Amino acid sequence: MTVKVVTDSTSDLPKELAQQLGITVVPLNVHFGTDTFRDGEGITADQFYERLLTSPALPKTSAPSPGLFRECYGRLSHESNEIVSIHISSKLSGTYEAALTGGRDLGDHCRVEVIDSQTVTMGLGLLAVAAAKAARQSASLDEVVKLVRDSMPGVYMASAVDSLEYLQKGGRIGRAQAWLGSLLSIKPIISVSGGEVVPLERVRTYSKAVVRVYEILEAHLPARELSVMYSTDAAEADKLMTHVRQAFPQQPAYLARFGPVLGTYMGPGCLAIAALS
Amino acid sequence: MENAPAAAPRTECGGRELREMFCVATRWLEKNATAINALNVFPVPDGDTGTNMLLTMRSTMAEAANPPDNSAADIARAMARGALMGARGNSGVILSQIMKGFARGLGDRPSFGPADMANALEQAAAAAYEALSKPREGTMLTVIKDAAAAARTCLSRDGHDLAALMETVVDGARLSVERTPELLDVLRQAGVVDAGGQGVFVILDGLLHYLRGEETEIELTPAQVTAIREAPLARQPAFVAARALPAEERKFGYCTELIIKGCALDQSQVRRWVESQGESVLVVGDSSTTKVHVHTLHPGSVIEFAISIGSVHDLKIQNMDDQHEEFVQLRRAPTPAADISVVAVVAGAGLEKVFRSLGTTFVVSGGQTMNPSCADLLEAIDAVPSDRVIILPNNKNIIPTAKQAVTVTKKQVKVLPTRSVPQGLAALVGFNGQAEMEPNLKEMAKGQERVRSVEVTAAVRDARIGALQIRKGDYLGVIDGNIRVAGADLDGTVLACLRAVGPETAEIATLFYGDQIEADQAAALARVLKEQFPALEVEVVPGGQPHYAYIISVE
Repeated sequence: MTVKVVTDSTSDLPKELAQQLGITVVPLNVHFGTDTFRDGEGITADQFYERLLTSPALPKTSAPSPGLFRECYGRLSHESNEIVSIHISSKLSGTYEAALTGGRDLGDHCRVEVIDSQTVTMGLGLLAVAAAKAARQSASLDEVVKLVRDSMPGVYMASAVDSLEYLQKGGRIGRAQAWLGSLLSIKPIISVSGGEVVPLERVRTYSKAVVRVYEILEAHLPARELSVMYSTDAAEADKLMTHVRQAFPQQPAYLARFGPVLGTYMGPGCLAIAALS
Repeated sequence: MENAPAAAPRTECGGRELREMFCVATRWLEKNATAINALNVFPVPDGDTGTNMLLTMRSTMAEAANPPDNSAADIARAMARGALMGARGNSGVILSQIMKGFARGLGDRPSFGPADMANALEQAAAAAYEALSKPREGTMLTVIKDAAAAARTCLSRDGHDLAALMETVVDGARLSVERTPELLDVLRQAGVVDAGGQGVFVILDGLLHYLRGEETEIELTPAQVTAIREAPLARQPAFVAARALPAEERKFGYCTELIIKGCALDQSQVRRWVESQGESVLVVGDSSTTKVHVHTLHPGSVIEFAISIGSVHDLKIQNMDDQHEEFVQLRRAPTPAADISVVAVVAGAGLEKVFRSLGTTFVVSGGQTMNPSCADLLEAIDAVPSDRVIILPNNKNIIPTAKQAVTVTKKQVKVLPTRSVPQGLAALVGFNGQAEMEPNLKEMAKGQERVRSVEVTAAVRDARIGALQIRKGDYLGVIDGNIRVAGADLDGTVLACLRAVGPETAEIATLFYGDQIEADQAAALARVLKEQFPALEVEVVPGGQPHYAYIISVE
């Protein structure tokens, strides 16, 4: 029986890619005041960013309930008795704990392995892709879990951030906070390491930040899997994708967009890369 | 509350009471949710703790409405189900586990008394711990555990009254919340108590309100938890929780703990006597060994009493005013030392602030016409907590002094020869406290080279420099250290400087205005600059520097 792969919507996996690989994506919630949306359902990315820019109060996010995970696992347990569920760093969200809770007491007929990926967005997405590809080649649950755990140290991410406002108000930047706390306009480049958001560099202008993302990307080519991510500037992301194709035509690369949860904390104008070595 | 009838002790509650009790607790939580949200510090597991706990409780109570009234156990199981389905965020997940444990503790009982309540709280705490892969103390886990322990202590006295039991539980929870910053560094650094723990306290407090017959009063009572974002020092836990305490508790006195060993110790006699001596009394044990904990202004009398009935062991007396003061001091302590510190020479309050915000540990006041001495710089080098130091002189006349300081100090000090404030700033942007010395110097030097500096000041005398005829009082435009522009009009001089720098390649100009320039005046100049150079982003920052009307960094 094929191992079923589950992740959450902070993976920012493109819908078609998730469908094609049979990955189940459990949505987090986004709240604008009393309006609650499930990430990726009921609100399109464009609508979300439009609202992000115009809403007087910033949105908030919350983890899926354990009950939602229970339902998801219950449904999948009819198709398979082995599930691997890979999630956003437990230092950034309660999703991992909710998945653990939801997977408990599922019964003996189905085994669920929940993994704290220590990363987020396509860093997480690429791990789910790797897991799904292995599952398709009939890897066992233990093999898939080992593959994911062995791959985790090879995940690298970097993102240029246009506005610090969202990161600062969202409160998830850990020790990057003091480093960003600035009176001047600063464009940071951030990464995720050890499950936390960490600062990489800071520059004064966005175009310099973009140049650095190109340089960082080139240093990670070729990669086993690669993704370019953006929040609002599709043209900038396309340019970077073209650059990758020209530099390494053989390089598999996915273009992904920060969904509402990532968008809440990263804001508009972000350009990012994720690589799996 | 004064006019509440003196109710007979409630020894037993059924299903209806259980539901109503938690309804009141949910309303109480609703009342306090905003204040709990304000306690959020990083790492915020998910969203706002108060809101998440409230939404979880709402889902809990929606499910509690379904079963018939006659069984407390049925209602508790329904609540556990509702909590599991509605759990929001990390705090909600833990809360759902607390509800699950609570239901487990009630077993199949149609009604429950104090002993069942104590048992249910213990099960609730156990379930909360089981739920987490890495349980962390100083969170809601600790608070529910301490609350359960308080219930057990109370029960071991004479527990027939549910309200009396819950009073002890709520006291235990409150003390536990106050202690959370001692257990969790992030709380201590942020100067708040744990938000989830505060939520647990509020829920338990809500249950107590119900048992005391104060359901209606809570609508009129202001929220108890308080956190003030703007005044971090007011956020110490003692303040946060103190509002809920009677006034006399605020005098801290001495935390006195001891063990009495003897034979035929009368627990209730010991407790009665100790209670007469102070607050926060805990007396636990048996007829041969009794542990006493009390906050008292006279620890001596407690010891005398103990010696009169047995032998005294493990005596511990701590001055809580000191502890409190120590705690406040801890809160004031700066963030942990970086491996590399930056010392920068800057004049002007605004510029100093900017340099600090970008990671300068020590600012030495100085600049053109007031060069700091080698001793000033050495003092700064000694004062920073790290052994490795980078100096930003920010003026060409200060570079030699800085280099001299390097030869005298025992610390490993490097001078990055920044010749202007904009160069210093651009270098500082490239600084990363976590990186090593060499990569830092390389990155910072790159930043320094990328920036153009414009400084505008008034001429102190007539002069001729190259082709420029300068009269006293004229404005001089200094570009990268060379006098290049002169004119009688300040704004005109700034404009001429920017034209000379070549704004077509620049992306951002940061305008630091000096102590003689009004904010409006600087803003007006910025508008002119934007009109003249539409592609340029212009940022206006109060620099407060003397002598220089404007210092402009162009990148």
